[in-house]
Amino acid sequence: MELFNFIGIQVLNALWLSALLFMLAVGLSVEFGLLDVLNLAHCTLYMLGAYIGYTVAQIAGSYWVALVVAPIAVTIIGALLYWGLLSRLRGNHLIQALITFGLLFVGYDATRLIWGVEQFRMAVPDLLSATVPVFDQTYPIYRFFVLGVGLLTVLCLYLGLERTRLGAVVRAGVDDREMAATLGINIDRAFFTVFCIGTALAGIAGVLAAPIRSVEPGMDVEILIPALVVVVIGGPGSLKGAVLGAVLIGTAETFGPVLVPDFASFIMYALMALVLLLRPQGLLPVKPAH
Amino acid sequence: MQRRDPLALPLLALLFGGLFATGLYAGAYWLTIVTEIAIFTIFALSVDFLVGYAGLVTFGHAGFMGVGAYALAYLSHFAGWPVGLSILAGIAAGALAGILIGWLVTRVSGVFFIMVTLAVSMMFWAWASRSPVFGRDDGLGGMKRMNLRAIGIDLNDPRTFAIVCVIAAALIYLLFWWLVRSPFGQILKGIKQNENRIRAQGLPVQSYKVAAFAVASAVAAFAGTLHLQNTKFVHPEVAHWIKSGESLIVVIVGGAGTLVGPVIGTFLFFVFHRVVESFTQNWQIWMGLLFIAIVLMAPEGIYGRLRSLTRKRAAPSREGAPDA
Amino acid sequence: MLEIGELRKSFGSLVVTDGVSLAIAAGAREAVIGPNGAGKTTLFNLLSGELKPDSGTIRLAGRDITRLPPDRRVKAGLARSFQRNNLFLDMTVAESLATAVAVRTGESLVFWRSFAASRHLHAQAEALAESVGLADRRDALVRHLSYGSQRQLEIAMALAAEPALLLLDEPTAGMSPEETRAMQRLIAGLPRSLTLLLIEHDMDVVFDIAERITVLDYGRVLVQGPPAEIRRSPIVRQIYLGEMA
Repeated sequence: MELFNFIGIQVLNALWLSALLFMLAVGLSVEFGLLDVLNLAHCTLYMLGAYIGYTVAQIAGSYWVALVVAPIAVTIIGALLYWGLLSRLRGNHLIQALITFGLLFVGYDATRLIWGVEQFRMAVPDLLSATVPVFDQTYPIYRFFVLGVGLLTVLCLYLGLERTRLGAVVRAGVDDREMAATLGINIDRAFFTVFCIGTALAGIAGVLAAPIRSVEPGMDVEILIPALVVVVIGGPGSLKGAVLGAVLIGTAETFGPVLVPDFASFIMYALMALVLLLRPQGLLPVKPAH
Repeated sequence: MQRRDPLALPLLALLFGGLFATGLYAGAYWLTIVTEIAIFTIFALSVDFLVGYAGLVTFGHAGFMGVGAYALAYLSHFAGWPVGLSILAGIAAGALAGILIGWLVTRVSGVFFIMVTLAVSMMFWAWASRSPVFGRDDGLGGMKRMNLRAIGIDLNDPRTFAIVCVIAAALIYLLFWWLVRSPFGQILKGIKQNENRIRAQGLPVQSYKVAAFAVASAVAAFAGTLHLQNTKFVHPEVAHWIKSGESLIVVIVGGAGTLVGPVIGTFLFFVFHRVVESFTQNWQIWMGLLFIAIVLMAPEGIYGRLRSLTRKRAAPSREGAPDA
Repeated sequence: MLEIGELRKSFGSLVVTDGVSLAIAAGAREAVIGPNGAGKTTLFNLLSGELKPDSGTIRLAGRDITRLPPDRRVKAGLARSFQRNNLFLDMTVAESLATAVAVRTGESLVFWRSFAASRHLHAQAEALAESVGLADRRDALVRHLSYGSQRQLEIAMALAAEPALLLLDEPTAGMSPEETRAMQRLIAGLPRSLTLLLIEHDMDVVFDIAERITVLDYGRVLVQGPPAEIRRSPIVRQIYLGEMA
């Protein structure tokens, strides 16, 4: 019974973490699969979302204001980066990866400069501060909220991909970039819009994560690798892949340190390497390998 | 065929000479910088050999520094081997790891290669951070330097150690310079420029990539053994992907594919770090911005830019007039 | 010299090579022609090893090379030039030829002396440059060469491998009439010790050089025979005229 409760709680933890990873990985995956950009600074935007969210919450006294404002701010920053830097460098993977790596450096220090080095904990909004008795423990409702937002995101993205014109463009672009490029000038705008959506999601993920994980420098690097592994495993540009990858890694990251604490990290990196070597297009690729 | 670089020799003389002279005369503070620059230069040279000459952009080369450092630590500290032998074993371990891992990772290319090298190096880091024998993420101290007292050299003297490292860096430079101008080096150049073409000439491309990888890994392992002897401390950070990233920054800023570039880049990185650090704690922003600026405006790096400027001035019609 | 047996290749449901069989004698001058999409370059890719066939065999001088990777086929004596220039753009003509020679002779493994000092490599590179008429441009950067010169270099690079069988993929593609004539002379001047198989769209070149022509359509061999016969063949006229209509 003890074991059952313990596993139950861990499963819930895995779920909310998967939701968070999914929201992060979507942007990364789309950037990689559609725009062919390896954006190592994606999680820096996540971190900025958390920091800005924290500050806004302090000023406005409301979590909900932060949840709206921070992603907008992050998207603006992301859009500037895209327009200023990344859109100029399409096709040269090394340079892109390195520039985003440089941005990682810059971001790390910029947050230390503005916010200092202490850890912050953002307060859970009053509305969601209750706990629920489950599996013989009290579990914060807030985490269900995070899970809920994640599921809602999956739904919206799925509908967006299948039903909207933008979605059709994205699907075409991931499937065959060159072909899509010949279809017309709106491709660039579509790419840009998609990039902004991915960035907004990263910002939202930052605000969502802030009350649970501490807001501190280095939180971007901490989550970058799991997010990258999600993209690699799921398959670049694949929504289903991002969901699958997020669930797998969320579970691994939750159960790993509990079951095999000394091997959890190692196994995750080994998994990443294995998938890259054996099935680089991912487990649920957008187009089947030939 | 081999274009003459009038700048190379004077620059190198200046840089290495400067290091050597600082090593001979400066105080303790500068000695540590000299040693760090010398050791990182060795590492950066091995990265340039892969990135700038073989076209293998690796984001995990620090892993091989880790292999060298940890092999040395284990053999000299736990297995009781003499340090000198352990260093050789560390280099051999690096070469072996380079062959095995090289054979695996050269199956993919492009961004996938970048990511898989990152992943594999972090596998090592993950192992090292968790290994109780080596003190997990705290690392382990008490490492020894090589005992050369029989030939009158005391490596425990910081000045002597610094000079030895500078000489080692110069020798490694010569090694790569030699390799790069050999037929083997020419083949690597061919692989980097057009892998398909050279394969169509009958070259077993993957074998050559693995060979380059093994050489670079052995040298990185050597840098790792020097690093261990310098700090007398073994720590997983030596293998982290951020450290690999720093080596890439150094190579690109200095000028990839030039060998002189990584030397300049390392100098800049360390000097910049110390100088900026004396003004502000946030040197990484400035380093990051400088790096981005260089990548955008002078992707051939500082030395690459200097070289093309001097070549233009020296012989404007050197390359042969284009056909009508 | 070359025996192709029932070669088949499909991409999904698209059959690109549909049971092609062909036998070419040593020293022969053969051409493969056919409308666009007939599968000519795919055939070459199957021969050079860039693509693996779904079924069928390829024998070179009696040796089964069907399973060999591209680089081993070159060592076995097969070399090709490419339809789109595939060169070392940032090397000089002499340098890229010397590099090719180094690969062939195994000098590529030498790491103890300098490339510049390997005089035999450079001598052979010069000879190759001369043989294709590029001797006066040997110090030019490949990217500065005219298109026609680059096509000539393509051939020289393939020759550097000292093949027994040379596959030429549209050697005159995109060339002006003078360039085409120069290329024609080059090909005609190649020694008989070399077996030639060429893909071409320029019929003048084909009828001038080829001793036997194979016509491909939809991945299948339609007709095969000496130039005169092919010229008269109603089937060939139909597919070409049909295409032009």
